[in-house]
Amino acid sequence: MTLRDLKPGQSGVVASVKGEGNIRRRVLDMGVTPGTKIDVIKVAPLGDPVEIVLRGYNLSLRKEEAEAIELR
Amino acid sequence: MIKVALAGNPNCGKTTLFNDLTGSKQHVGNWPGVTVDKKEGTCKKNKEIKILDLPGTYSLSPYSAEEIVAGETITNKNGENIDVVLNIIDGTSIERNLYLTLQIMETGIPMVIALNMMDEVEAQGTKIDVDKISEELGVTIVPMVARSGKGLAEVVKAIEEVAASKSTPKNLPIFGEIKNIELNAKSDEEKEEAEISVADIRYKTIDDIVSKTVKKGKAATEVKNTKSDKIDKILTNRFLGIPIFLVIMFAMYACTFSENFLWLGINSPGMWLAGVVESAWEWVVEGIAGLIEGASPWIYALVVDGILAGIGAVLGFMPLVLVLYLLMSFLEDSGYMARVAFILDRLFRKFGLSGRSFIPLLMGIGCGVPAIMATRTLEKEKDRKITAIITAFMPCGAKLPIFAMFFSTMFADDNQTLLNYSIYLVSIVVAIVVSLILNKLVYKSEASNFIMELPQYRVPTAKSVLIHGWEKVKGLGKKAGTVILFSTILIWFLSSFNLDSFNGKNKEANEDGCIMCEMDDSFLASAGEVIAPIFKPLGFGEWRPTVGVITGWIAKENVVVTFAQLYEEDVTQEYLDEYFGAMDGSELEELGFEGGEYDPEAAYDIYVEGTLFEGGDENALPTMKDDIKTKAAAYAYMVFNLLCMPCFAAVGALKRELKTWKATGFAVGVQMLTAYVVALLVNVIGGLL
Ligand SMILES: Nc1nc2c(ncn2[C@@H]2O[C@H](COP(=O)(O)OP(=O)(O)OP(=O)(O)O)[C@@H](O)[C@H]2O)c(=O)[nH]1
Ligand SMILES: [Mg+2]
Repeated sequence: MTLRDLKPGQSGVVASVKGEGNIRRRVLDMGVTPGTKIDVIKVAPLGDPVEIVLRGYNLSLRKEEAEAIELR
Repeated sequence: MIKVALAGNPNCGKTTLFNDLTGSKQHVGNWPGVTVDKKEGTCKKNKEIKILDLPGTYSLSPYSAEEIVAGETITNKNGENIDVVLNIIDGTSIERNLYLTLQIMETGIPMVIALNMMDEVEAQGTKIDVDKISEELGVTIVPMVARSGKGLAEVVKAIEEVAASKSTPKNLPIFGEIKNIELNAKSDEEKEEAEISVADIRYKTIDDIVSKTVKKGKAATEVKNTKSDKIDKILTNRFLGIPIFLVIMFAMYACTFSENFLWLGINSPGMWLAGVVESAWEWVVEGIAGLIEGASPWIYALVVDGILAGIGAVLGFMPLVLVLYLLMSFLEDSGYMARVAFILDRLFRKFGLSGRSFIPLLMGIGCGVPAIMATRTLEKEKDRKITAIITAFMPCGAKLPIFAMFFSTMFADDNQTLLNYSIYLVSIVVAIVVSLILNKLVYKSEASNFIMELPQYRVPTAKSVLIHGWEKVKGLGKKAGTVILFSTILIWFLSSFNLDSFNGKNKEANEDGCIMCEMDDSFLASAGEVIAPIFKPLGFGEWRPTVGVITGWIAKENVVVTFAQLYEEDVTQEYLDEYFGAMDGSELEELGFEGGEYDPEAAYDIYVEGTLFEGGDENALPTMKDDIKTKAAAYAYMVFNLLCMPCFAAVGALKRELKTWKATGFAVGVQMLTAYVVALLVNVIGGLL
């Protein structure tokens, strides 16, 4: 399962982060590391991107990018 | 001397603190990526301390262009020779902020931590054991509120102490571990693994420290329950989000331009203020004109018809730009900008861009120079380049007077609000189309991306909004006093003289021995006439409008300045109504109004035929309508100025962002071509209607 599969209101715990080098590094730097709990808050009005909360702050990323974040 | 660099995550309050410490007025805004370049200042409390404001960064391994600057400065790779790093931490997201802290500690540079946003931390009910964290890291930590200046003195003191003792942060055991992992990773696969492990180790350490020292308040742990989240529920709502965005844009617009504000039948604040400034300026001009009445004609011409007319043409619009700017900084400070990027990302992706491109585009409505610089925060090179090019299409504050000038003359009978909208619509549609074309033809491969922190909503402080406004007015005033004044004098000179002025021929020919020439024979006319034919198909192939386009490249305000100097002011219906309204029946009859009855429709002809125009002066200049005859041509002229090469200052900014002159030349070429094609379409299609 990946972060993309979560609906608003659901939450999950990160297992690993895949994807293209640069974006992957950014996501890791921003605290999406194995074991981190992520809550999905909402989907933007036009269906993408999504807004999530982790480590006490709000982050938005595209569904495509969310797909690279694998959950346990 | 002690050199201090301000380092921290984007939007943690670095520039706010920088302004506090140095008394400067750098741009602060509530979205990540406001500062894109380093800026130096001197500490007010201790002149020995030099402070360097840096762009925000989440990590020392760079990601977007502006982050490289931050990383290189902190690691002392670019010769700034930093003595102390002042690491600013947003206390409300302490875990993510500490990630950068650990990286800075790893470099072993002396540092101080400013734990910022303590007001919000307290409001959340969160308790942070500052002393204990300080002990764990071996770094002095000063809790503070940069926005109100609380804790400032302590920060300065801590910097002085660390600079004197040169004490370095603790060498945590994980630093060695990280180094080992990084050294041992050889293959790409191993390196990828190493990246995860390193990030994981750092965050594990942080989690460990935070669990011992931070007790999160209720508001911070319950997801979706802060005040900010509640506001967000409405503003980025699935159904309301986009309508609200449109309403906000409309409201911003109405506050600035509307002549029927909120359908109340009154002028909007912007228009009202513009009226006030205009009357005040008229009063000044009359005063000055009275003072120099006796002076020689050419001095009078230079001062009154040249300088005063030119500056006045710009001054009247300053209030509009100011109001627009104030409203925009309100939006910037509230935290809404990042949300708009969030809302619009999907749409922008259709054009091959990222939602973040919206921010430079919106800033472009104020001024193109900072807007083009703001493209630096876009991660993908393709996004950056395309956004920089299309940002120049935005109707910036300096272009507004051009539209207003045409609307009030050529389009006086049409709906002004719709006209104003149409300009914005044109610039947006053109920006989209050009972006699509560039995406298809030039930058084929790269996909764009969108990863953006959404900051807490904050109430904008009056101080910061007013500072923005004041800085803008000051900037405009300076521009009027330098570039525009200079252009005005240049235009006056080039339009009053020709070669014969200096070989004595004019002196002989003119009865009064004046060496000036007819405007149609001037340097400016000759030069303009060479270029003018290019614009024939666009409907304004005369030398005067051509000169307007060219002076516009120095500063877009110059277009109206040029018109004010080269054309007689057109008689408006309002003016006629007022002019004849003051007369009684017999006077009106004498002038040719049937039965002594004022007839607005006949007024213009009677005014002109009765040679009341310019007191029957045959030397009177033509009016704008003599050169730009149709509405289609007028609209084409506006569109051309809207889309063609921006002012030189903006071209300079383009060069900085695009790096090479070749790329800049390409960008300007795209802009020129676009302007020409669109203006041609307007003139041809408009002519058929
Ligand atoms: N409540 C509160 N808000 C603050 C404080 N310090 C700064 N802010 C607000 O935080 C936002 C960001 O401030 P900036 O100073 O622009 O942040 P920055 O770190 O320079 O941001 P970038 O240049 O984008 O990296 C602004 O809206 C400030 O008004 C504080 O102590 N308390
Ligand atoms: Mg800043």
